[in-house]
Amino acid sequence: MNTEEIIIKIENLSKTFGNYLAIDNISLDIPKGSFLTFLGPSGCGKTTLLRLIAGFYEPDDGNIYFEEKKINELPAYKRDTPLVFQEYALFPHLNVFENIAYGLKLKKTPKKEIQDRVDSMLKMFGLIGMENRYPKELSGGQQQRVAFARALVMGKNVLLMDEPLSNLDAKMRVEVRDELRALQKRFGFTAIFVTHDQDEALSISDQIAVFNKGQICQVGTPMDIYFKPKTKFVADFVGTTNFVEGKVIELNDPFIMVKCNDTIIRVPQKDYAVKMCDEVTLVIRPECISISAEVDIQRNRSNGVKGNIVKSSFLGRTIRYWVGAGSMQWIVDDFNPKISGPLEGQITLTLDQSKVHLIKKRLK
Amino acid sequence: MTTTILKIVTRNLLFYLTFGLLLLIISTFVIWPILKVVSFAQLENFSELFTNSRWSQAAIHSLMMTMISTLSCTFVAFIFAYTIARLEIPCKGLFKFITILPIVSPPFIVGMSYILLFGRQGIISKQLLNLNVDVYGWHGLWLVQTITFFPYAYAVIYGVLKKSSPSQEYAAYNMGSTHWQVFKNIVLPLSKPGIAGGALIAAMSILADFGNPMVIGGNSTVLSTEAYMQMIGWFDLSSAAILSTTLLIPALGLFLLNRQWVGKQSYTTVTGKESYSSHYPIPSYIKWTLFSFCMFITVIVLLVYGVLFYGAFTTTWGYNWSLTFSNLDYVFSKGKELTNSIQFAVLSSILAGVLAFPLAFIVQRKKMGMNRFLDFLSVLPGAVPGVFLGLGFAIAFNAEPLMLTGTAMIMVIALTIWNVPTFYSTLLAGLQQISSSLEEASQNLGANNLKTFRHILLPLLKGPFISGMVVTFLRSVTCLSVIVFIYSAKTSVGTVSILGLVSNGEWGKASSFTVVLISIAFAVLGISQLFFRNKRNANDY
Repeated sequence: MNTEEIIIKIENLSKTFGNYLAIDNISLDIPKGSFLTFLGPSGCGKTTLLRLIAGFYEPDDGNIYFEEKKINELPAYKRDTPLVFQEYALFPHLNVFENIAYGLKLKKTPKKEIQDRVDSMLKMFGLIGMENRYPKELSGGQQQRVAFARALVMGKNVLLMDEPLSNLDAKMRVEVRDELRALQKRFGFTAIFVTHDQDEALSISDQIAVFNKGQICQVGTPMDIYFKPKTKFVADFVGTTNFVEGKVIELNDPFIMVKCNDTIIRVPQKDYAVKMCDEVTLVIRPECISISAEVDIQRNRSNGVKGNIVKSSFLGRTIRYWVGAGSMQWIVDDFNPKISGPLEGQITLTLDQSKVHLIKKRLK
Repeated sequence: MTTTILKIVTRNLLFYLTFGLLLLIISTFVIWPILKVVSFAQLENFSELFTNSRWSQAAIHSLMMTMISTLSCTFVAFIFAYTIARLEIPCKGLFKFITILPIVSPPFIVGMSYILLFGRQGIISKQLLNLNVDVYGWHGLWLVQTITFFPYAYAVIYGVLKKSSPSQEYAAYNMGSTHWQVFKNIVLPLSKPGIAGGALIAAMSILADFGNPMVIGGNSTVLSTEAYMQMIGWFDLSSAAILSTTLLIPALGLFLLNRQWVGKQSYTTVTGKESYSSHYPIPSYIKWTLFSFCMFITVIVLLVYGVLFYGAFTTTWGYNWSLTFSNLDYVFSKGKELTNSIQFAVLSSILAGVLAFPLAFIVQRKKMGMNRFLDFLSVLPGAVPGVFLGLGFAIAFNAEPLMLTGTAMIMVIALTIWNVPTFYSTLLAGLQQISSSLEEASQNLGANNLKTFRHILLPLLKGPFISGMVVTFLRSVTCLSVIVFIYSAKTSVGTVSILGLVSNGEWGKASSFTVVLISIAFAVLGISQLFFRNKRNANDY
């Protein structure tokens, strides 16, 4: 996989609907062969960008390049960017075979080749024997497979997917997403995948682009997005998080000392451009905090916080605690709950300092 | 800026051309005739409405008849709708059949049967009871209009009742309501939009009706028949225009009311969670009372058709009851009228489709900002009483540049325009059900607009297209009001002949002619149903 090669380039793209700014000056390079996910809440512009790439909308400003060719005004039917629709959009009057063959027929592919290529899709998606069924006669999962087959049969370098798993039940969703990832690796196409489900995004992607209000807040690997979010929005949208407001009081390489209320938290320096007295927000995931019933901690023990358990909730593999400490409430996950029941009363929290992440406050 | 506008225009050239052409057609064949009639009636002449007692009587009759018949229609329609939609009773198929019968029949059929039953030579009044009563007039018309137009209201009310989920009723029963309380507090309020919509449709049809008042109104004319008398009896165009315009005003009022008010009210609670499959059972005495009521109406309707068939094969109604085929022979000797009827109906059903499709497509798919206006224009001919539209065509196209009087073309165009609203609404509803993502999917796979239209939209719209064409055909074959001012000796049609036979008291021939027309209508309906059923089996969507 040559990550240097860019297949789709988006340059200062904007799109408004009436007065609503759906895409706000977005630029993005999509490397060939990668699995890129657009993640964000509803109305953030992720689907709009996908549809701009597919050619269903025309941009107001900016450019879209496909393999270095500008395609702003290229009509959708000339773009070769097969899309899997959220609601599948299977043609109700065509049977499974005809649905999958639709695009090939338009391309005037020889009959024999159509038959072969559709057959291989049917085989791959376990749809053998259903060729003559109509979409209505299929289960949701089967319909979804037909939708994938119809797009993949075109054999293009790109596959666009607009929340294709959102109509499946939870268990099936996990199954299909693993299959999808395997498929993408096998064929090596570039996948652009839209979702609002963070688990889905983290598990499936090479790269995630997190969207908010028509802009991309951050592009990065799932690990980066999760552990090193650039903004509070990203941190909050991807997973549960504790935000701790504080002030840099000491730069003591390789650590930054941050004073938060009455606690001092040590943050490992990872190219954070901070100065003394900067206002910062610390991002600490609930699972990066350990909880113990010990109350008397040594003064010099780093990143320890005393608190009181406010409430707890047993979730099977974890217990989630809400811990009051001063004016703050922490959320803490204990991944190895004791069989005797949840902790109560006074406890001590210990922050895993390697995973404490720092966000500089944006200047307003 | 100008270059981008230019670019947008050239890219959508076909679209703008279509749009312009549609506007031109609508202006010429809808707006222009309406304006012609309205402007023909001088404002000062309107005072005659109050001074001329015949006219003021006609206006009052029109309004009164509309009011009382609408009430009775809505009442009957609601009971039918409630019984069919909610109760477990036998004969549902028969009841449903009864509600489509009047829709496929010529509009004056009930009036004719009424006279055959209760008229001076009526089989009940004269033969059975030996009475000599004057049945012409408003009592008879009221009954006839109720039977004729309740199915229109029924269709709307049934639709709403069928859609509303029974879960609210279960909730009310759960909280301790009695049957009557549930009906009064839940069922009735929830079906209000249906009742209002159904009542308005019935009112519009009754107000505009021409056939029944013509046949049995007797001396009590209504606006539409009075306009006809002025035009045909005295060639008084001005008076006809005044009377028709007077008719147009309440008709437009009802139309706007329907559009503004009913169109926006919708209590249909479609939750997607249909947990209750059946409705809460109703006490059996209520059930059977409602059933008997429906059966009573059904018997009347069946009697209407039965007596007509009997009349078609009777030598001389009222005097010589022996059976004969001579009436039928007469009908086929008038083959020209019959073929005209069919030809015009076929042509207008095709043309109405050609016109309605781009209208529906632009309104539903192209978000242009002019959609509401275009939508309004598309349904406008439905607001205009048939007599008014006919008069408009007679006046507007009797002079250059569009001299169409007496031609077959004017008949076809008038029927086309008259049917555009129904065809348009059918296609619009069809398009609304086709998610636009299907078109996008097709384009995404490499089909341009034309191919997407051919491979995706057209096959999916086949159903609405066929049903639109069938309805237009039926309405055209059975139409009287629109063409009564514009037919000529060469372009006369079946319904016109029947009207002539009725006014000459030739009941046998009139019934026979009507029976033939109904048979044609049913044949077409039957064929289309058969076709539909086969399609359904092939691919159920």
